[in-house]
Amino acid sequence: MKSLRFALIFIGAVGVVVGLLMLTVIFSSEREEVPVIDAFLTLVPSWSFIGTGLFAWWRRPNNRTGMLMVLVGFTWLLVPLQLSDSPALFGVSMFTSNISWVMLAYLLLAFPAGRLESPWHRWLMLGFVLDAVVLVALTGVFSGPELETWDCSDCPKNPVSIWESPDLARLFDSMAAIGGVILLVILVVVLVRRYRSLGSVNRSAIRPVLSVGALTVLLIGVLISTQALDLSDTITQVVFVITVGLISAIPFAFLVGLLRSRFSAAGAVSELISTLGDTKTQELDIRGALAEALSDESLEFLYWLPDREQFVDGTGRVAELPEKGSGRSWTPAEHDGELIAAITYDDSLGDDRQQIKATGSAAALALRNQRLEAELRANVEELRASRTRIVQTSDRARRELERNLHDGAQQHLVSMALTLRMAQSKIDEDPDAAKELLGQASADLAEATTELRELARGIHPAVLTDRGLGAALGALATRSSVPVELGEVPEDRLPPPVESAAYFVVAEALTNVARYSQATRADVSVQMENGHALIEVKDNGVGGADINGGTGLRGLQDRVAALDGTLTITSISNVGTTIRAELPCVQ
Amino acid sequence: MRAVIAEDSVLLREGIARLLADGGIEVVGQSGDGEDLLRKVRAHKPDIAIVDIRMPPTNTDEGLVAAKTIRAENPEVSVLVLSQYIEESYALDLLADNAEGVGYLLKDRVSDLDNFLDAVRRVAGGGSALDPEVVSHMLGRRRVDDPLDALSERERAVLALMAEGRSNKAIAEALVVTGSTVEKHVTNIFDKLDLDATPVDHRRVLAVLKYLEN
Repeated sequence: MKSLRFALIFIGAVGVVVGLLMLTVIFSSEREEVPVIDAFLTLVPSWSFIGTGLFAWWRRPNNRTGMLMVLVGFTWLLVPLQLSDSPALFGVSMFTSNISWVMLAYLLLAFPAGRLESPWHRWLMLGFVLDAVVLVALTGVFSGPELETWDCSDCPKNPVSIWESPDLARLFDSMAAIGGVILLVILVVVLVRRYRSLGSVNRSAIRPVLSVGALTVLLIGVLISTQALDLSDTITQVVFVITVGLISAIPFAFLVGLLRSRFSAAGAVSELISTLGDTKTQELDIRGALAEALSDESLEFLYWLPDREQFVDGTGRVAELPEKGSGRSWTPAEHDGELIAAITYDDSLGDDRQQIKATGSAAALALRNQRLEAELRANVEELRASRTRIVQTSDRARRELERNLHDGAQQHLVSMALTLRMAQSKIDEDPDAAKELLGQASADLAEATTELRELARGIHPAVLTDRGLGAALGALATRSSVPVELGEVPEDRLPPPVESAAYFVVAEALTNVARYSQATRADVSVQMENGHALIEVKDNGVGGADINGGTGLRGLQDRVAALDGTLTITSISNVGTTIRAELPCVQ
Repeated sequence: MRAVIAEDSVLLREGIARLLADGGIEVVGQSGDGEDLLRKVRAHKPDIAIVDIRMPPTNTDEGLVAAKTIRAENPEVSVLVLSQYIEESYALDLLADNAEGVGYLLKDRVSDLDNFLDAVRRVAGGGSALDPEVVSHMLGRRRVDDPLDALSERERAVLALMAEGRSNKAIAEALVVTGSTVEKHVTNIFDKLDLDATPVDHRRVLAVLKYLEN
């Protein structure tokens, strides 16, 4: 911000210096009869444009309107070059004297966004450049050393007279005049249509600019016509003075417009509310409306999902609030004290926080609906991610199963086959050795059986299917290396998916307790409440469990979420960890 | 001694039949499911029914249900359930009310011929047999303020053998000590665990199991 301010002050200083230099050009000109008027006509509009432009630039650094206004001011400052007695400067002026008109057209066309909105606006601008710069320069090139076309006998010798051809020069001159009038008419039409397409708030912002601007454009048209029709100098001069007066008023009109669009908070809010209240625009783009009301196209909503305690963007992806120094700020949008969304916007709107908050809260009710949509998208997104994880988990489990079968039972069986062969070959000559080998084979077999049994149990415990959750959790408690107190467990059977999920929640939780918690006891219970099974595993260990810590808990969360349940983990350092799963029991 | 075998795997059923026959036990009937088992038990009134826990049609705990039906219908027929699960809930379900003439062994035990035949005879004779693995699981369960911690290692071994359904004599043989030493250990254990002393072998199985279950 500080460097911007210095840059703007510098530009302002340059503007003053260039203005003063132009004064010397005007006052030293031998052709100028009343230099004071010309000085006045030069400095008032250009310094107005530069000054108000710099102010707008400073307040709205992201909006190019301020910069465009400064450019108009500077190009206007170049106009008196045509009064110069130096042929070189006079030659330059042939190319530059009309740039200010082109810039002014550009400014009008680009207001209030500061940029051209459609490609054909660019074509229109190209037309202005061709007309006001290229055709005028061509006229100069062909009109000979004495500049007959422009009837300027006391001008310096034409430095760009390359090929004298009065006919061509007159042709270009007329083309420039006719083209200029046509282009100005088109510009007026565009501006009027623009004005009519806007809402009332933006209308009030743009009205002063457009009315002054359109009037100016019209007068420029008249000016061109009077010059082309060779009407008396008095009329031309009167029109010229009125036009310049109007032009000087334009920057102030811009300033008023910018201030209106910027500071009429109440206006922006009421505009937004009336847009939101319009039933025909149910599918309206609140973001777009707010972005327009606050003139920040980069404005975004991040919806707050209280269940997940996360922000998500419109597509449902988890999003973070902008950090300080990132160039973006945020303001909460609340409804009845409930956080609905965060509005993120460019830092340059920073001092408008109150307005953004008011506008955002006005939109909060409508935002609630959009939040539902975002939540839905977030669920779909989460579902997609969880489906991927479930596939990955099941793949991993299969690989593990394959490895366990391969490294465990199969190895024992292979070893047993070998031992039996050896026993077979020895049974006649050395029955004692054969007996020992048979013993070994039996031991291998017992090992293989044990491993297969444990493996089968890990895949799905038969006791759960046969005897239900109580017995299965009892078995888990028995196997746990940390003492487990098994509390309440419903006697009635629950739906099989719920029993499975509950079992694996407890199994995984107890595994974690044994591995990481250093707990001396764990409490397990399953309670029925409002058709939900509440599964709780609590330990008195060191805490520090995190859902994102490993695949185990994440897998549990997916399993629970697949049944529309929720899994919460509360882990407090040196107090213990509580894993709670809530599963709806729909039969 | 006469036995009926129920096991849906023919291979295993034939194997068990053969080793029973080798051990001098007459196999009077073989079944592949619970229904057929009940029919054969009613018809033959054997001394013991040896039943696989998992059989058609449900392949869950058909055998256990059949075993309980047999005990209810014909208390003089003993039942030995063979299971592939080390889950005490099955065992306790079976032994809970009356451990007399009831056994629960892991299927693998059939390969340990002598011990298996011993268990069959013990159950057929009105005793109990609980698989050592299941017992060790129950004993091994970690408890908060575990009263079992008060037992000496020898006493724990005696407790385990009691839970398996062994008599004092069998315990003495297994641990290579005298009968009176075993009796002394048993009294100590019952004192330390605050149990009412019940001297009869198969009754005390129940007491011990009930204790371990809680």
